[in-house]
Amino acid sequence: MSTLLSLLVLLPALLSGIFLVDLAWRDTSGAGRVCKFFLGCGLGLGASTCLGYFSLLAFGARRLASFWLDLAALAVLLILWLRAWRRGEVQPLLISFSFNRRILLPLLALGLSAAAALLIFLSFTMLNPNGDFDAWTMWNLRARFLFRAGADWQTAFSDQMHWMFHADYPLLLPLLTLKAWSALGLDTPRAPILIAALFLFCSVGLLTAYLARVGWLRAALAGMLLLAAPRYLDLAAFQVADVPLSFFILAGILLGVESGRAHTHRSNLLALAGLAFGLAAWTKNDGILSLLAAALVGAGLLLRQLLDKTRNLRRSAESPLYAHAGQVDAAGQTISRAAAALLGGAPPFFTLLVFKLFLAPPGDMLAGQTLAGAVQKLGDFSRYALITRALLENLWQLGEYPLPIVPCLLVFAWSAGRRKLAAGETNSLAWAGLTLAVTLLGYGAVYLLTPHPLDWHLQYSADRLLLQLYPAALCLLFVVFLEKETL
Amino acid sequence: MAQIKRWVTRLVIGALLILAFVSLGQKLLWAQRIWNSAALSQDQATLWEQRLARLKRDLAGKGAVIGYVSEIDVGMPNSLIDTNTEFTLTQYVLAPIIIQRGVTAQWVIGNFGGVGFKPEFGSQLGVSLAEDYGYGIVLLRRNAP
Repeated sequence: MSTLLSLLVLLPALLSGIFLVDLAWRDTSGAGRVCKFFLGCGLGLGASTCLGYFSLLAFGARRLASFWLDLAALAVLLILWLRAWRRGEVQPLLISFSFNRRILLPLLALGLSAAAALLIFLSFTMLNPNGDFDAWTMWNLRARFLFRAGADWQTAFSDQMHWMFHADYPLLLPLLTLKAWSALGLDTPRAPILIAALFLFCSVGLLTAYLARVGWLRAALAGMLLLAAPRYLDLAAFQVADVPLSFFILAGILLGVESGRAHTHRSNLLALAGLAFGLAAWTKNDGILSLLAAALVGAGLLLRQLLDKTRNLRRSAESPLYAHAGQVDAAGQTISRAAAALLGGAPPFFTLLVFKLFLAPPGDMLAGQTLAGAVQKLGDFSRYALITRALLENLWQLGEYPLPIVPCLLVFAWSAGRRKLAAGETNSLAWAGLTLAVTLLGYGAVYLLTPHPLDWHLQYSADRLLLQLYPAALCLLFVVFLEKETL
Repeated sequence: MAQIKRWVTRLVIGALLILAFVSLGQKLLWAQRIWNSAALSQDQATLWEQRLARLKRDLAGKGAVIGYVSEIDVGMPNSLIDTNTEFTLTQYVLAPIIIQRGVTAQWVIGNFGGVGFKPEFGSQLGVSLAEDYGYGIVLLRRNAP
């Protein structure tokens, strides 16, 4: 019963996300709508915690303020959606498929896989309703502090707490759990279990539905591969933040890629991508690296585009006026799209900033650091070797499949061959690939400077960091290397 | 050549599908193996919650920060479970009280597993026994104010 009630409490946030995504992304295909549904669910849950954080600051932890704010946001978005509907800009969110054998078989296989994954998730969860070590040490613990401490909720961020409890970690997950607990008046483990399941199936659903816009077979295969990664299922059942973070990174990457392919509303897609990366940063400190990577790579590509356009402008100075005006217009569009991405990421980033500046105690990664120590670590080449070896070993065992998945996927990419990319796509795919690569480099840099014993740190986190990027990497691989016609 | 490549692609996709099914099948078998209806409510956190239920009641009004000592603090052999898992579980169960390693707080939880609390631990740590809850869990009071 408390699972159903938790779902009801989260429903306004889920619906707000669905309406927001439908307003911003005007894809009316069947698969596109499914994709927008899963995207909206995840983004809605995440964005609602930004409101939740400010309601925590204003009204405290045990009030229903966060729930009422979600309802108010839903009302505003519903009004906007209805106005757009009356103008004929959006259509009711009904999904219609023309079923045929080509769709039915992959869907059936995916459905069976999803049912098996759900059974696995439930069997672990029923035996371990409080999740695993990281859940009771960080995410569910923080929610418990906020819920139980009442007026003294700021105790949750006391610098007297042992570093193992990571009181400086962002609050997306604890605030979602708190939202359900506050409304139910009970700190039931069913709420974090439900949230973990929602993010697991939203990640798989988003990956599958996005690829299904081009072909259901490749979509089902990608979805099944993600569901069949035993370690990914474990992490979901452990109620830790890695699966939600992987959802937001996947969403950001996918929206960025789509902005390069779409013919209309490209700024809207980039705003949603900014929101997704902002929420990734608001989920976990690791997500801050993916946000920085996305912004840095985006800024680099933007600068290159602007330089190209400036060069073209100089060359066309002597040309007829329309060519000159066209160049200026294109440069303006590029800048306005970058501004849209920044605008989308601003709410979660601002929330994170307020949290880090005014509430969070210093994190263990910085508190245990000295400049001399950092310089010494940077010059220690054995650390580079250890990190590279650990990351490669974990890449080999990625997801803990019965066979190493990376070589299998490389063979798949080789056999499928790279498809011919459109001009706009090349830039967005380069941005996506570089963002994942720079994030990985960022993880390497954090290991390099860690104040903790390096082998211990690598042993307990390297596989999870790689899995955070896995759904997005899988999506990119299928987008680049498999053409509809090859099947 | 294009035809051959298409067949290779189909073969690889088939192999990946089989890999996905085998992986899920193995994990399902694992789930079936670990499943035991008698083990419901027997997870570490729930058991620790039950073990500390009386202590939790007794800690009401004894301050926002409580100390914590275990085998490692008295030089006894210890494992990662003693030093990390049980400490974090204690914090999880007793939240919103902050559990701090050491004896700087007025009240201190002792967790000495199988050996239980021994009087020499008290003199070593500068604490005296206030209550024994069994399972090696004790509530200690710091001797010096």
